Amino acid sequence: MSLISVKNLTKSFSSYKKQPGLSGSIKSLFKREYQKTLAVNDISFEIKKGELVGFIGPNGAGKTTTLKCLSGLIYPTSGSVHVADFKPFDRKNEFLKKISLVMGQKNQLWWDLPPMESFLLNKEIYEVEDTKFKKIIDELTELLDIKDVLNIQVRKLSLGQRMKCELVGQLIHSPEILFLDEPTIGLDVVMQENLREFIKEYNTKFEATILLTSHYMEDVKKLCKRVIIIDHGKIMYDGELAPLVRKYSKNKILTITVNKEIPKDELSKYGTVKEYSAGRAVIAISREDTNHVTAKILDTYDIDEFTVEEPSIEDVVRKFFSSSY
Amino acid sequence: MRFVHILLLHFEDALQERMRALIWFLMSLVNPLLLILFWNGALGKSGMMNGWTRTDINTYYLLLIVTSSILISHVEDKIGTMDIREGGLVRYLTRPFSYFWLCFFEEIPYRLLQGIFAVIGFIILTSLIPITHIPPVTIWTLLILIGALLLSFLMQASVALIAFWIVEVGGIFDTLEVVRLVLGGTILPIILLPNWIINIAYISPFAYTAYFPITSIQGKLSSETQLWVLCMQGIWIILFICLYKILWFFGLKKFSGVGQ
Repeated sequence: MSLISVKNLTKSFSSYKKQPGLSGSIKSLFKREYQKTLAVNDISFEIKKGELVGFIGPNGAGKTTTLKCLSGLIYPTSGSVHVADFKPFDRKNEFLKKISLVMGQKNQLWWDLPPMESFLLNKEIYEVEDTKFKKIIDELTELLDIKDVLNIQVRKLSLGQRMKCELVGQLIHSPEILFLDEPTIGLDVVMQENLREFIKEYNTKFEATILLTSHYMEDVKKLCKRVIIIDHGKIMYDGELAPLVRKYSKNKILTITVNKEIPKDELSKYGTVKEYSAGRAVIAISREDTNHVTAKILDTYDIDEFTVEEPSIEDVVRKFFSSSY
Repeated sequence: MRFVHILLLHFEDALQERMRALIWFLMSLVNPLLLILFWNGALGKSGMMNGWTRTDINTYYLLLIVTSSILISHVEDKIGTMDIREGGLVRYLTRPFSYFWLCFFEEIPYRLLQGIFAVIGFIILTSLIPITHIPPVTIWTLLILIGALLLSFLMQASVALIAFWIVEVGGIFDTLEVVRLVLGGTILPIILLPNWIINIAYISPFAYTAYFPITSIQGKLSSETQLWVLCMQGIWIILFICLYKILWFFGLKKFSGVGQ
């Protein structure tokens, strides 16, 4: 049984096309040419309860528009959207209490007051009981390590602390469904990792359904088993991440650190040498030959360390898009 | 209790931004004080016009400072520009609480804070400028003041929703403000305007947000007139509630959340 069901969703926007320069501005005083842009074009997908799905695609692909349709912010041009048996745009209070939309770098907290005041406002708005509120705040602030900033003005917090507080503010009502739009944008690597861990934990601990958009492929790689790739408003791929990686990456990445230098020409026999420096080499080897090649290298040379990794998701997605056009 | 808690939390925010309220109050002082100077010069030695004495006019403008600080809402820019045009509405729409009431709760603390500054200013200014005796505020006057506050807020909020359809909504707000200044009795008491403008003003909603509340405080309205003012306020409030609901229903379908 699907918790989120999207059928033939289309959303178009009308915008006016201005010709460049002053003459264009004068012309637009009398006649304006409007054009329709299809932000989302006849997409369909379903998401089950407890799934954590990555929604990826380039800028302007239609990711945020889809999230806005799912959270009831914008009205679909056509098609049907059902989230937890509700039509999102009806914006029924029971529905809004089940969902949360977190948009990276968009401040929903009172700027001049400590975050706790905004949490208290959300407590009243979402009608969360005192005991439950206290329990959730204790739990979330512990998990995100922000206990000591709860009474400091939001304007004085770092971006990472603010983002964590935003997240707490959006989770006070324990939403069953989370729409996360670029939650790690602008954060440093350590903070990104912390947030990822938190999202993962929230997903497993509360069996929450999460739809995540991100430009950082690490987010998707670490969190999502299933991905939906969208481009120009169309869904290009919907399925597990692993087969996608296998299909669009014929190679694995072997990194070796050696005690005695190996000539580059010799390593080229095993695959494409991507990086080579004294004592360290990165080689792209054929996926099918991985076992055979690694065994051979380990037997032949004096290897200090070696790792075999999947290629970066960025590479996979890049190859996916280049093969699609 | 939930509404009270939400209102009190918004008070905390308004108190943090107390300087904003003070600056708006100081700005609201300029026009009435200039008009007091103008009328004191214009009335000359006779000191009377259409039955209004110089001190009546002084009282009117000083009360205008207090009432416009407390009763006249300025939510049009927040709703029309910041929320609808720039997409700030996104943060309200995902919450299970009426956008209208949240805006109202955001606005009320500023009205009260500006009102406190205005009352202090009024006390100081009345020690410098002669005014007529102000009778104790009756229950009818109090109801008229509450009606004016609701009407002003509803009117501004409804007009602001036009931003769902029109991008350059600032011009409409400015035009409306000019009309409000004339027909609301902010430039001068409506009774001193030509008859045809008085007739228009009396059927417009603007007079019921400033002129009638002030003259009611001054004790210039009979009980019958006060009742009629309350009826007119009631009619306009109902009309604006309907207008707001219709514009909200259709406008929301146009909202694209641009900028968010």
